[in-house]
Amino acid sequence: MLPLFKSEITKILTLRSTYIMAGVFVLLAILAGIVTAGLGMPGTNAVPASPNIFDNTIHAVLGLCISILTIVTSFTIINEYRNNTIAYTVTASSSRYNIFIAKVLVAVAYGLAIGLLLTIVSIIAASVMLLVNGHSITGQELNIGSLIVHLGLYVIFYSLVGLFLGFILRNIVILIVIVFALPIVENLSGLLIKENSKYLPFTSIGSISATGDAAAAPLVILAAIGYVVVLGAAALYLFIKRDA
Amino acid sequence: MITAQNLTKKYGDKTVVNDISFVVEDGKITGFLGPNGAGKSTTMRAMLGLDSAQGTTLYDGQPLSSYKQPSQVVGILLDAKSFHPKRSARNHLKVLAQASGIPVSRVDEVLALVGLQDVANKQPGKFSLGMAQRLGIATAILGNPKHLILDEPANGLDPEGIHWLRDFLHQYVTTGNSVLISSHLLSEMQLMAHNLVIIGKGSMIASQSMESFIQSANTGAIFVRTTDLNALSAALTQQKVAWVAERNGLKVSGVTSDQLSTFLFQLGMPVLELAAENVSLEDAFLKMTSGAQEYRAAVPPTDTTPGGQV
Repeated sequence: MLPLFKSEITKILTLRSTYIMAGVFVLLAILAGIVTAGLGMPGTNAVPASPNIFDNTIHAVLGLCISILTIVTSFTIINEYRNNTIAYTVTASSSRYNIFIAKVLVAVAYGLAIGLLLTIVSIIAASVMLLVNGHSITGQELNIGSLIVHLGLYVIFYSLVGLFLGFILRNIVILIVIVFALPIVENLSGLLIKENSKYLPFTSIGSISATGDAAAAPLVILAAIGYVVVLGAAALYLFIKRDA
Repeated sequence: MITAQNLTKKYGDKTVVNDISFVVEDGKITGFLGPNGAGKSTTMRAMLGLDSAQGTTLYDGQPLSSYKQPSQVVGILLDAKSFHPKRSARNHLKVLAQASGIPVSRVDEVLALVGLQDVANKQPGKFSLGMAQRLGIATAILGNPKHLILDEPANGLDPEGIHWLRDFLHQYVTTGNSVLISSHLLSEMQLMAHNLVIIGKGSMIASQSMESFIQSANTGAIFVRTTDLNALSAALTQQKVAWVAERNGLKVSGVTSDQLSTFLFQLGMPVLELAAENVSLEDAFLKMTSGAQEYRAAVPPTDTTPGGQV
């Protein structure tokens, strides 16, 4: 398992696009920090800054980047089929199950690494903006424990959704359509099914990021876990059964 | 030794590989031939477990899945362009070495072996087909496997590359390794392979040594050219010897070259050319697979004229 994991990590680290994407993520995080902490309150030292700016910034940047992250993790398997390196990957191990697990671990690790990067950069950017505008950053409230659990799961779930869809679809165009179009369809379907729309796939997974009073209900979280597990089971079954 | 037993692959109702069995002997290069669409690549993929198929393939008596590191048992080259176009050749091999538990130091060894050390850090997306084939061969031999399965590895190689590949594979099998190789370059295959497996329309046509396969297509005919072909053909017909006009001479069957030259001497005809028919692998292959072509082009008219009967 360890050799496969190392190999999957090297696959990501040996592509220039990985670093270009990381750069894009950093820029978006800076932008989110500047917009959330800077706009609307320039030089207003007399008015205290909202204590939730850091929290808002982190949620804003993750919301902005999560779809891209989903697509990037899908590349870890879709590229294998597109470039036909899957034959080498499959014959490198006696078990496709091990390959699947290695890719899952790498997708999770990559998602968490990007999530952490986005969080740190966006907080730094927001801090700079607050200080530039003459506000103190000591008044910012951040429930670190809750944030780690909720955002950690949020990032992990989206990374896995991307990977599993990649295993199932093997096609980046269809995947992009699903990742971008399905949330819109879910929003629209909320007009019909009202409250129950919170149990729809992307809506329920997306709601995991909310903390505090806005945190998702346990049933919604269960629904989100159910979607990821079913998607993962389907991805594993198809990866083992289908021709490589 | 690789033993493929009763391999069958279906796509829906269509059977693309039908009950194929053969052996790839140790110490031998086995050529895998068949017309386009015969099912060669599908057979190779089934042998490697890439495609689900009925039947079994044993590598030294065991299925590939029973080995902890399959890529150290069999090296594969199924498609020259099987790499991420933006990942350097060295990193492409490094990734595969790590996955297979092969020391990364082996990467530079195989790059040097195939002559790609100078472009090791270049993106293979910019490689020519020949360079891509060399990278594919480097990938196949990365784990120093006992067996090689190569699908069209000579495709796109320049003459020097083909010569290198032939020498390399001959050297590779001298230590008891085995190679299964498909190619449409039949003249090259004739020089390279010891044994042949031939399929057509997904079914077995032949599995035998190169020598016996070519011999089986040899009619024993003799080509003769002299000054008066009309007189010769008339004399042969009179002697009930079969002949066919071919190019600027006659192809005569049922006699030896000694008998024919003596006959010409008795007729007082000079022998301008006398040669026993030299059947090539291409001749034998075309003869053997004439009914097994999946895709066939229109055949231009030939200049042969049937002659006398035996």
